[in-house]
Amino acid sequence: MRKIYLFMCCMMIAIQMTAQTSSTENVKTVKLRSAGSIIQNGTVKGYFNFYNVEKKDRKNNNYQLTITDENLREINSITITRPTTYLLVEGIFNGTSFGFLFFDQQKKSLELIAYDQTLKELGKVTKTLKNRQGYGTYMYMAQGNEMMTSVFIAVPNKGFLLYGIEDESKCDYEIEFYDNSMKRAWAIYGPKDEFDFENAVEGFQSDQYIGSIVMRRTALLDFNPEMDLLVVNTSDGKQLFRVPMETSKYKVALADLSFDAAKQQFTMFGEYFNKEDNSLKDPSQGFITVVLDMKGKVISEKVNSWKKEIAAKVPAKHKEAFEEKSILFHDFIRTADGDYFAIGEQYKKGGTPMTLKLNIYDMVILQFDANFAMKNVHVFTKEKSDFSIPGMAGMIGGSKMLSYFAKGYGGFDYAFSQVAADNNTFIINYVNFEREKGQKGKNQLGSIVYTPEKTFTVDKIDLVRKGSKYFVYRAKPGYVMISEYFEKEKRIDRRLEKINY
Amino acid sequence: MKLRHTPPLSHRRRRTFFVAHSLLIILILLTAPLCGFAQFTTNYQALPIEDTIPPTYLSALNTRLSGAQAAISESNKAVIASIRKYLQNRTDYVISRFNDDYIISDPTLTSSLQRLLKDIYDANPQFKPETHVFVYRSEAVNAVSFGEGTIALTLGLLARMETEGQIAFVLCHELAHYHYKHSDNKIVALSKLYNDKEFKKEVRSIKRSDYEQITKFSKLAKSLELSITHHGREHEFEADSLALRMYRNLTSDVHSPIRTLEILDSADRDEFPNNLDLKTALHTDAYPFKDQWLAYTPSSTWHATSEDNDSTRTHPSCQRRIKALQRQMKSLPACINNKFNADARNTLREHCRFEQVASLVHYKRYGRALFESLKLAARYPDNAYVHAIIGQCLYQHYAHQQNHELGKVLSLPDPRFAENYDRFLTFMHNLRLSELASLSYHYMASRKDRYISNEEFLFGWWMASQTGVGNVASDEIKKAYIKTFPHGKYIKKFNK
Ligand SMILES: [Zn+2]
Repeated sequence: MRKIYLFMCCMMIAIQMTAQTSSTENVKTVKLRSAGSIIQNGTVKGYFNFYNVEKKDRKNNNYQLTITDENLREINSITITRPTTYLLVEGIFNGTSFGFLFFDQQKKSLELIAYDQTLKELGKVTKTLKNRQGYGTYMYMAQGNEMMTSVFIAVPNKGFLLYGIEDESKCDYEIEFYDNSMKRAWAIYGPKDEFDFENAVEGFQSDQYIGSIVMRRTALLDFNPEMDLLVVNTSDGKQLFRVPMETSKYKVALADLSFDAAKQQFTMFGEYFNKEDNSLKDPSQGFITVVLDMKGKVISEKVNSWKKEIAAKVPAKHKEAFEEKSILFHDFIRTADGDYFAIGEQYKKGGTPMTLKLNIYDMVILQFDANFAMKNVHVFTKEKSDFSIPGMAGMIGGSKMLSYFAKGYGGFDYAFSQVAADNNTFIINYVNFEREKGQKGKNQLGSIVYTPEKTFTVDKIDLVRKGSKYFVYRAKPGYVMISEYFEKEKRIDRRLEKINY
Repeated sequence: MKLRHTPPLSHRRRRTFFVAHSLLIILILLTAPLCGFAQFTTNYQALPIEDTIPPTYLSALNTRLSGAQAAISESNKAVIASIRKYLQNRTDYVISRFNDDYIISDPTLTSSLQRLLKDIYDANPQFKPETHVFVYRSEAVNAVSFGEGTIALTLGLLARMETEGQIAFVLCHELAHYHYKHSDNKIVALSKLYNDKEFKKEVRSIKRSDYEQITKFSKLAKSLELSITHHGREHEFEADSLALRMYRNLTSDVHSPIRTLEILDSADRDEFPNNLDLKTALHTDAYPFKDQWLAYTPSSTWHATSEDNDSTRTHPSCQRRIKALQRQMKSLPACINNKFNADARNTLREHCRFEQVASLVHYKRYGRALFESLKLAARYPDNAYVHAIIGQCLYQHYAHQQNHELGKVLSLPDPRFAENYDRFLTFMHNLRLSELASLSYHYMASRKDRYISNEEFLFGWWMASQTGVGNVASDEIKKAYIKTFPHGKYIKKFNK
């Protein structure tokens, strides 16, 4: 749901690429993205490990691909031979098959491989990325950066979506749908019009429909783009509608979209802006829900503005902070009872013009009820942290832009969210440097838990422990994965630990 | 126990033999869980943990080692050095098993094994009585012959053996490994192999190659492993065969050998067919059990179906060993004396079940310990020790969870476990921290008037008071413990 950041990320790459080679600070040693979580519907379903076993010959390596389930039990392990320049970008599971997306840095090509549940190959496809913008995102990742948002998405039991850039275009989107054996079922492209720069990211999925958000610009560095919502059939990619993300009065930055099959309507949720404002630069006016019919026509809308409805619920002691600081929203969750939660983090530009910084403050959760009435504003205090803005980026100036930049480079404390299978509870995790009085600072994982009693509680796990190297990773809902290295025995112990609430 | 075996069995009669046999198994399964043993009705006293190897046995091991090293009859110096090293490592390993508290030499458990061992040697005078038998702290259903004369039977095995005859057959099997010198021969074979010119050449050439080093090494290792596994498999049949002959010199009983293998075959299944009644076990009036804790859907996550490929295992499947034994039995003459009591159950078995719980607690495997003690509590509802351990384990789960270290003491559910255990693990993972604290506290609080005089229970009650659930003064409990048990085993824990 962090759709918007992919765009930002595209733009950052664009800036780097146009500013070109002098900026060496981001050219880190290319490291293999060797391990990660296998995600299904935003939930960790297992882990993969991809590593180079040995040289096969001059050009190829033998790699080992191992998968474990969500409880760290090894499922299978296979050896595949691929060029030495291969990177594993993403591993996903759609309930029926695994999809793995590889990137060959030298050939600038992608390979998609589907495996069944025992890692038996079901099919594969190779795709050369001819478009410079098209492989830009992958190069960005190859430099050791996290991908902002997934470009490779599981469609439950049916197949996989791949979002990219059309080869024969300046920078128009391409959305491809591959079935469980990696046969391409359909592909759609950005229209040939004056908007040469159209990026798309996944917005939502229902049984029948796939929604994407399209950002259209006339030039690469157009910082006032238009946003459209594109809805197509999952079965054949046929367009249901494409409409601007706006109502008669406002522009909408989409955060969450849901489809009500019974009512045959879509509900869009997100921050809203005045029409004349730039959604990437100017502060939003508040939150909005917009109901659309099957043609994309606005049926109804409802707003909660910062100044009125939201301000009324801000706890007194946090009022000042709300006025001074801005909030970047990381995730949006809807619980089974219909409540909406917008999860954000406060920030403010700081430092000097020469050493620009983004100061990061408390976690903020806005809670709306099923009818989208403002219910509560929850603030979770944590230690201030800061993110130094590297040289070039200072150019982009505005603090909102800087916040996207910081987000792209992992500058915020927010780490990930976990929603329980029954959708009643969720956990927001962040990493923070906590200083207790009279003690040395220590890294902590903070977990904000929305409990079955519909209250919030916070659990903390120290990320540094004496005498052992200690790492915490994302795991199945309600758990974190802790890997502990015991120096003496040269042993790594990986285990799942429950978050306390 | 009317199954008389008069070889050879016709095809038809063999089938009746099996049918009758499985009925017997069912009978045993059904009756065993129902009755407890008077000796364990009210309490159990855990055996002391033997910290270090008994000095006499240590010197015996060293004498045996120097003897074995002196007796090496090879000419190649490198091979001799390698054999010496392997022999040394083997002895060191046995010593470490003692020093890491795994070995029980306490006569309470071992005296009957010693007696059986003596009987076997008496009945088989062609073998020198050079071995010693101990009990090993593990819930695995297993026995081991270390190769230098030490034999150990696990608590898990002894808890499953129904008759002395079965234990005797296991002993015969391990003795057969020893007297066939299976371990010694493997050491010699490996030492020769590693010093083999061809082998060394191959290793060097792999080391020099630019590509696929690891693939080549693992191919080499696999071919070695295959030949070793193959021998290992042969050794099992060989050991069974000699064991049967030794066993038949001792007794006319014909059921135990095959029944023993059947038990080994079913070792990963829970011996008690019914699932634990967690609600009855953990419900208290002050803190009612919540049915939602029992929610259980076995994980269906993708797993490669492991093909049951017998040829890749180190041990041939018990089913195949049973067939081999049956073939052999046909050709053996019947003998008359029957040494063993026909009563299928013995107190050793029960004792081992309790000691297994004590071992699990000692090795801080609180999840498994809790599961085993809940099973015992169902059969010994008035046993103070069992309730004390349940309380202590519940507290340990709470304390570890609070510290985000639960994963160190409690396994994750796994559909490959027996359903009973998988359900138990799922239940434990369903509990929230506050619920663990309350369960831990109320389990002990509801029983304290009855069992407070028991040392284990008193310490468990002190633990429960640390949860902060009830308004109990921990210090008072601590003082009471120190006063009642001034030399108690938990005195040291208070100072931590
Ligand atoms: Zn054996």
